[in-house]
Amino acid sequence: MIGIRAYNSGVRYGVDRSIDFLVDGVTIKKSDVVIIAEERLDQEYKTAIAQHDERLIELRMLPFHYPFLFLKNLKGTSKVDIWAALWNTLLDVCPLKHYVVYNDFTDLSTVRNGVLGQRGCQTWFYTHACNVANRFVHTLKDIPPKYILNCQILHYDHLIAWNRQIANHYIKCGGKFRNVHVVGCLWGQCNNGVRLTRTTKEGQ
Amino acid sequence: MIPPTIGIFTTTPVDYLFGQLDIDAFLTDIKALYYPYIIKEKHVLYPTVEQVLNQCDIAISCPFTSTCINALSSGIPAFWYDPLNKCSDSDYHGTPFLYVGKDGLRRGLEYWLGKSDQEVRAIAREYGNIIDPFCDGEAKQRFRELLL
Repeated sequence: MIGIRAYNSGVRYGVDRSIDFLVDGVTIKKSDVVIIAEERLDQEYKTAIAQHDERLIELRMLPFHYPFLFLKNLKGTSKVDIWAALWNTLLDVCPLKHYVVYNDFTDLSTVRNGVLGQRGCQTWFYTHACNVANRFVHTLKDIPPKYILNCQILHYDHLIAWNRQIANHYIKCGGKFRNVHVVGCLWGQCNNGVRLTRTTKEGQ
Repeated sequence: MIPPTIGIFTTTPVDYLFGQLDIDAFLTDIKALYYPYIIKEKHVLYPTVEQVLNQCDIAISCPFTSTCINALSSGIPAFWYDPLNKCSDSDYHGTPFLYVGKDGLRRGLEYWLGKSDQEVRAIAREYGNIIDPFCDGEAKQRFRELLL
C-alpha cells in the first residue's frame, strides 16, 4: 500500500497535476493507494477524493475510530508522543509500504518518518517543481536561512528529483536522503496531447 | 508567414530575486514583440499550463519557473527571460535557456523558433544535469516503477 500525503493548500485534482498522479491503473492502481490527511481537509477536497473513488484516512480521526489502538500506542502527552501514536495507529490499521510527500517542511515530519522507518515503510520526498531550487542556484549565502532550516528537516529514504542540480540543491541545504533518484520532469509529456504542428523554420 | 504564438508564464514575485518590477518589464518586453500570446498567470487556474503549452509555439517564462523545464521536456521550445539582468550568475548563464535584456529576448526567439520536437529534446538532454536528462515524458513511470 502506498500512502500519499494530502493537505489543503497542496495539489488536488487538476488537468495538469493531481494528487494521485502516480495512479495510472496499470503499474499503480487506485486500490494500491491511500490518501492520508495529516490535517483537517476541507469538505470540497474530501468530496473530490470520494468522487475519484480513492481511499482517505484522516489521521486526526484515528483516536475516535480506533481508541484502544491509539491508547496502546500513546507513550506520553507531548505533541511528539501524540503524533507518533497517530502514525503507529495508522500503520496498525493500514500497513504502508511507501509514504509519498512533497513540499513538507513541517517539523513533525521527522517524527512521522522515524515511526514509518521503524515500521518498515519507505519515505519518499519528490520535487514537484524546479523553481525553488533554481531560484537559489547561486551560493548558500544567497539562500534565506529559513529555507535552509526547512531543508534540514528533510530526512527521507528517497528523494525524487527532476535533474541533478535540483537534487544537489536539497542536499546542499542539509536534506538527508538515503537514495537519490533523478527521474526527469514529472510533468513532461510524450507527444500525446502536445501540439506537434508548430511553426517551422521554413514557415518563418 | 504565420507569426508564432508565445506562451507567457509569470511567477510569484520575490523582491530580492525577481520582483514585481522584473515581472512588469518581462511582460512589457514580450508584448512589444507584437506576436500573438497566451498568458498563464501563476496561481490562476485557467488557462492551465497544459492548455497554454498545447497552443503555443514557444514558451517564455519568468526565471526560474518550472514551466520552462516542463515545456522543454515535452519538446516545446522554451526559455527563461530575465529583462533586468537579475539572474546572470545562475547555472543557466550562457546556456540557451536563459536570455537577458531585449536583445537577448530576440536572440532567444531566433534560436528556438522553428526547432522541432526532437531538436528541442536533444538540446534539453544535452544539458540534462540542469534541465532533464531524459525528456521522454516517462518521469512519472520511472517514479512508479521505483515504488514497486
